[in-house]
Order: sequence, then structure tokens, then C-alpha cells
Amino acid sequence: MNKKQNQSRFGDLVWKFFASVHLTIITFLSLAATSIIGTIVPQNGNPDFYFHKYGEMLYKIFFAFDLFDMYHSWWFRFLISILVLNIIVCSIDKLSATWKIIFPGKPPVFKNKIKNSSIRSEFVTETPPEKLEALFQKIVGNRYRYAALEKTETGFLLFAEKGRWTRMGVYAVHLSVVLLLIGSLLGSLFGFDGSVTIPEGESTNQILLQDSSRVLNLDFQIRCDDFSVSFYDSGAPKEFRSALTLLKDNKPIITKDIIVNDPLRYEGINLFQSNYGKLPPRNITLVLQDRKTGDEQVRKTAQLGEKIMLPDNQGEFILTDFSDQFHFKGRNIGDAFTGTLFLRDKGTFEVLIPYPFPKIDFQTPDDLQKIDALQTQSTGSLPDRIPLSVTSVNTGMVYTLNSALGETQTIPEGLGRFTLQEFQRSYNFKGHSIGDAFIGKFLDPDGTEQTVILPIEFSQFDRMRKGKVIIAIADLQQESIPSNLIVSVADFQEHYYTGLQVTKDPGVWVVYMGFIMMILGCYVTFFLSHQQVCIEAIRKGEQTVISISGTANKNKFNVQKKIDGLSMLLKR
Amino acid sequence: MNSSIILSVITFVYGFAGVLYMVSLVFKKDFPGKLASLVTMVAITGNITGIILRWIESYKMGFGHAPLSNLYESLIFFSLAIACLYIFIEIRYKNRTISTFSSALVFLAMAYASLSPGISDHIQPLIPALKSNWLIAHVLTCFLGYAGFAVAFAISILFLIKKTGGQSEEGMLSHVPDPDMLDELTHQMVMFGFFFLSIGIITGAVWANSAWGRYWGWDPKETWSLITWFIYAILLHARMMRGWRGNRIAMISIIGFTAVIFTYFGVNYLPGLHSYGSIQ
Repeated sequence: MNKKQNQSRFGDLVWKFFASVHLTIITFLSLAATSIIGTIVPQNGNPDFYFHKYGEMLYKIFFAFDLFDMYHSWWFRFLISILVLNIIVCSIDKLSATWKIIFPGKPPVFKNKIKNSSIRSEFVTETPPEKLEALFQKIVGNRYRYAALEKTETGFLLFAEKGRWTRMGVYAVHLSVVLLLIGSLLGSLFGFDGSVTIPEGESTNQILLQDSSRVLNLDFQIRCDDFSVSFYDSGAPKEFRSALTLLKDNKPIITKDIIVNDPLRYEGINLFQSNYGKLPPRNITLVLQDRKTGDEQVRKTAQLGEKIMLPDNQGEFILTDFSDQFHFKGRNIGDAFTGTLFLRDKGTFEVLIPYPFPKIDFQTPDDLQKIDALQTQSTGSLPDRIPLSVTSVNTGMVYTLNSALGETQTIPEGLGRFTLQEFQRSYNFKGHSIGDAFIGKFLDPDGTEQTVILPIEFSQFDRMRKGKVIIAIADLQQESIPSNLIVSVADFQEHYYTGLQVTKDPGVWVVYMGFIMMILGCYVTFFLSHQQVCIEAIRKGEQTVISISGTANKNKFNVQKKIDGLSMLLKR
Repeated sequence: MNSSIILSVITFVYGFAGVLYMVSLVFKKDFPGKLASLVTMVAITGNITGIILRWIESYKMGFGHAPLSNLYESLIFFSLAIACLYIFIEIRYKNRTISTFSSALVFLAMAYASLSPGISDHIQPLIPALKSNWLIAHVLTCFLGYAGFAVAFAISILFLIKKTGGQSEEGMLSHVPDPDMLDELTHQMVMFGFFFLSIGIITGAVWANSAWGRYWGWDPKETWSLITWFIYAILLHARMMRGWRGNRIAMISIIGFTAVIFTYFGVNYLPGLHSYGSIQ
């Protein structure tokens, strides 16, 4: 064996490997099986999340195999490459054979195969073959694209066929898959996928890219002229709408309202409505009323952070913050402002101004009282000793202890010791304010120490710790001094930002071509076939035996139906 | 008369048809079979009426849209598609036994939609992401595809039963077509399903590109539909290129349908974009 032969043998083996349907099946199986992983392990999350969820060991293994972005990992891409190679090699391999069937010069081929097909039908007639020729040719010619007659010694053979081209359907499907992948490759090489948030009235040309977190500068500016959101009565969102203007050198080029499913397209770049959010509102109309008389003392339009001087040198007021999802006593009360009221002779008051309350019915004493309750600020005058209730989980006994800050109390039943350490206004627990709370330290008899949070509003809070004792603040009377002014907001101007998805994908047309080709190819491959029939007429004495046989490259059951149908037709 | 009530009633009409098919199969009697076909056609008419009525009702509520927007509506259409398919096969191949398991699937799907307390039959307005002309094309083709796979699954089950126990001349299954025929029918239904699933995935991709700017995002539902597509692609290649027949094809068809079911229901337990398919 010489070297050249060796090489070509090796080449043959490689070719055969990539042309095999076994490889196709194995690749499909691997792609299907591995794809499941990415639907179970959340993709593209941040490392902290994964580390907490899976622990160090699994995290390292998952990380090594790129499982946190598995559809873009080297091994998944490798599988796809194998599939593409397989499709191409296999198609070329089979195509040469198919080509010979489709373009053999003069059809049809494999006459014996058709003539001897097991799918057949026979009948006998008295008409001699010569008289049948023209009639048969006409009937068959109507139903088949090609028909050819051959004279034989005892009669004739009529070959007919159609749909030879349908054998190409499967190659169209294969090519379509290749087109899809070429298209997606073009997209990832020459396109981008980013996002941008723009407050109403502002413009930008900087896009934050999705995968690399880099900033991309567009050669035009995107301005958000307006954003609006509407809701159904049920509260479900109805429409998000952004009025956008694209500017080049500060001159507007295009203005368009975009909604979800109706993006703005400009020079291959697409802008999609993706999300929105509320910004602190503007032009807030503040009303300050006298607590007792309800008389309006101040009405002023202000911005967040702006200081308002009160008349008669009483003091000042400043709006400090806004939230569209304000949590008050564990309940989401929606839009709410917070502010600081400083009264020269009474001190400082932190005030909460929920927006809907004064709007519902501004003037009734009832509503005023509701707001009043929110704005009556306890000024830190806690009693000297704080009443604590301690429940023993085992015996169900409840003990009441009175403790000053910093004091250590011994809990009965030998359950341990508790120290009240400090008091905090609006304690923040996992991102939610749970109101005023005490913080203490619980010392278990076994020596372990735990921090205990005791919110005044929630007496059951300590149950979450699942300890042997449940500690709570029993009944706390806070002394409070009301301010002599009640603050409310009469009106404000909403201020939104719009979140846009900005993409460019020059490969999308290749992908769409692939889509169309796949649909057409599948249709041809599945529902059309290359059908061939042979009608043989043999004169036997006084009778002519007509036998019709046929074949198709798929759906053999239908061939029998067709042959039977043809037989019925010819009999007449 | 409201569409939900009609559709609840139709559930039991389908159920009745299923029982008749079963009776016809077990007792090898022709009459219950004929009656079953008739009852199915009545049910199909009622099913279509229910869908049209629901469509009209949604317009009367002021936010009209095709009734293809949530789990309830998709199950109703899914049932209709399966019923139409099995009646078509029944007429074309002149054999009623094939419909036995398919009609059971229709009843189950309808019963799940109508009776499950977790599924709301309220007509809801469309959220912004669903407001697209692609909605109808996407849902219609996906569920035609699923229906094809469902019928293929039912025939595969029948195939396995026939193959293991029913080859004798006078047995209970003597009216069931021979295994070759069932095998061919499975193949036909898988091709039908694969064709429409492909269009379903493609219309979904085009829609995603017009709504979010990307035609493929490896969202769990997308991924699972692709997994389903791979499984049926294996079936088609194994059968057409490797000449696999019978048991092995029936098994792949059954595995494929479990993937369909997971794509349909299971994915809602994973995070993703297709939340409107979820159980509220």
C-alpha cells in the first residue's frame, strides 16, 4: 500500500463518517438532551446567585462546562458544527444519486422496478391493445407529466411519471438549516443587541450591549419625546407607547410612536419597546393645612429636594423622596412622597404623603385624620423600660419582662438570656421597611448567640427565627407630638423613562430565507412524491390483460389507491 | 347561552363519543362505531360554535381578539384539531378503531380545560406583547402540529397493543388495522405534526423578532419546542433513511409526545416568556 492510497482511504472514512445517518441521529439526540440543561439551570445569571444556589463544588463544575451560558458554549457550538458538517456531507453524498434520477436524460428510469412493483392492479378486456393505445395515452397523459409508450410483441408498455423534482425537497430542508446557521453567524459577527433607557424629554446615542456590557455609540441620537402607559380595568397593562425622534446633527430625521410589536427601524437598526419605569415626578403641588381649622396655609408647586419656607417664619418643608411602590406597614400603598417638616417651635417631623388619599376626598375631616395619623411623628420619647413578652414554645407559658436598653434579662425555665440593645426607626428587613423596631441579642443556654429583631408593628415576627422562645414587644405606648400643619400633595406631573431594546442583525434576511425554504422543503418532502406507473397490455388470445403497477418514493399506501383509481378509469 | 357553558357540555359529548368507540372496539360491533363518528361530528360542530361565540363575546366586551390567547383557549383549539384529524383519518382509511385513543385524548384535553379549577375560562384582554397578527398564525400552527403528534401518539399506543396481543383473527383487536398500516399512519401523522410544528416555531421566531428584536432567545419554551423538533427529526431520519419500522418508531413517537406535553404544560414551571400559557 502506498501513501496516497492510505490517505484516500482515510479520506473515505472521514467522508463516510460525516455522511452517515447514525451521526445525524446521535447529534440530534445529543443536542436534544443537552438543551434540557439550559432550561433547568437559569442562563446568564450573576455568579453570586449561582454560587448560592448550587454551592461551591457544583458551581465550579458548571462553570467549567459553561453551563451558565450553555447555548453559546464551545461544546454546544461544536455539536452544531458537527450537525452542519453532517448535513452538508450527507446531502452531497446523496445528491449525486438523486441527480442521476432527476436528470437521467430521458425518463423514466428503473423500468423493471416499476413494472415488477408489488403495488398493482389487473383487469381483462376484449379490446385489442392497438385500439387502447391512444385512449390510455390520453388518460395517463392528463394525470402524469410524462408518458411514453413502448411497443412490444404482444401489446404495449406505457410508462408514466410525475413529481420527479420533489426528490429535491429534502435538500431544500437541509440547505434551509445551513442558511439559518449562516444567518445567525452573520448576526453575531456583524450585528449587536443592546438596550438603553431614556427619560422623557432627553436623548442619547449610547447603547449598553447585552453580552459584553460595553457601551456602543450610535451615529444618531434617540430622543424620547413622551412615554405613556395605559391599563385595562383589571389592572393588566394595555399599551406601552414611546414617542421617539431620531436626530442627526441635532436635526430630526424620523419621528415615530413605537409600541410592543411595532418597532422603529432605521438604517438596519431596530428600536423596540421593552420596558419602562417611573422617575421622581416633577412640578409637585404641595398643600399645607392647619391641623385644627383645615385652613390652607401654603399652596406651592415644588420639585423634589426644593426647600419651601413656611409663612411667618414658622419653619421649612422639603420633599425628600418619591416611590411608586411605597411599603407602609407591610402593605404596598402605591405612589407616596416623603418629606421633612421643620417647625421652629416643635422640632423635626418626617412626613409620609400617600398620593391617592388627599385626592379621594380632600376636605373631609376623616381623610385629614388619616393623613394626620401618618404625619404625627413620635419624637423619640420612648418609655424608660420596654415591656417584653417572652413565650416558651415548649410549655406555652408567656412571661412579661421589663427591660431598659442595654440591660440583660434572664428568661425563666432556664431558656437563656436576652439583652435589649438598640432602637431603630423604620428598620429595613430584606429591602422592606418594617417600621420602628428594637434589636436585641439572645443568648441560648448552649452558648450560641442570635440577633433578634423586634418590630413594634409585628408581634409575631420573632416566630420566623424558629427558636425555643418567641420574644416580642408587648405593649408600647409612644408619646407623640402632632405637628400643627398637615402636608398633602394636590397634583404632580408623572415622569417616566422608556426602556428600549436596540438591535442590528444583518443576518436576519438569510434566516428568513431559510425559514421560507424550510417550510416549502418540508411540504414537498412530506406531502409530494415522485410517482411512477407502468401499464402493460398483453394480448392473450381473444383477451387483453391490462396490468397496472406503480411505485413512489414515499407513502406507498397512497400508491395503491392511485393505481386502483387509475384502473377504474381505464376500465371504462 | 355562553361559550364556556357550550364548551363544557361539548366535553361530555366528546367523552360519550370516546365511550362509544371503546364499546365498538371491545364488542366488535359496527353500530356504536357509526354512532361514535356521528357524535364526534356533533361535538366538532359544537366546538367550532363555542370558539366562534367566544370570539364574538370578546368583541362585545370591548377588546375583541381571536380565542387563542391563553391555556383554556389553546386547549379548546387543540381538542378541535385532534378531533378533526381523527375523523379525517377514519373516513379516509375506513377504520374506526384508530379513533379510540384519539377521542380519549380529546376528552381529556377538554375536561382539563373545562373542569380544572386552576384554569380560568374568563375572556381576558391581550397584554401588549400578545397584540400581534402573528398570534393567530403562531398558535394555530403550533397546535395543529401538536394535534398531529397527539394522533400519532394514539396510533402508536394502538400499534403496541396490537403487536403484543391482538394478532389473532377473532381477538378483540381483529378490527384494528394491521401493524404495517398503523406504522404508516404514525409516520403520516408525524410528518403532518412536524410540518406544522416547524411553521409554528418559525412564526414564533418572526413574531419574537418583531416584538423583542431577536428571533431566537433560548427561552425554555423555545428550547423545548426545539427539543421536540429534534426528537421527531430523529424519527423521520431513522424511518426514511435507516428503514426503522414498528416498535422503535412507536417508541420514539411516544417519547416525542411526552416532549410535546412538557413543552405545553411543563415549561410553565420553568422561568420564561410564555407565561400566558400558565395556570393562573
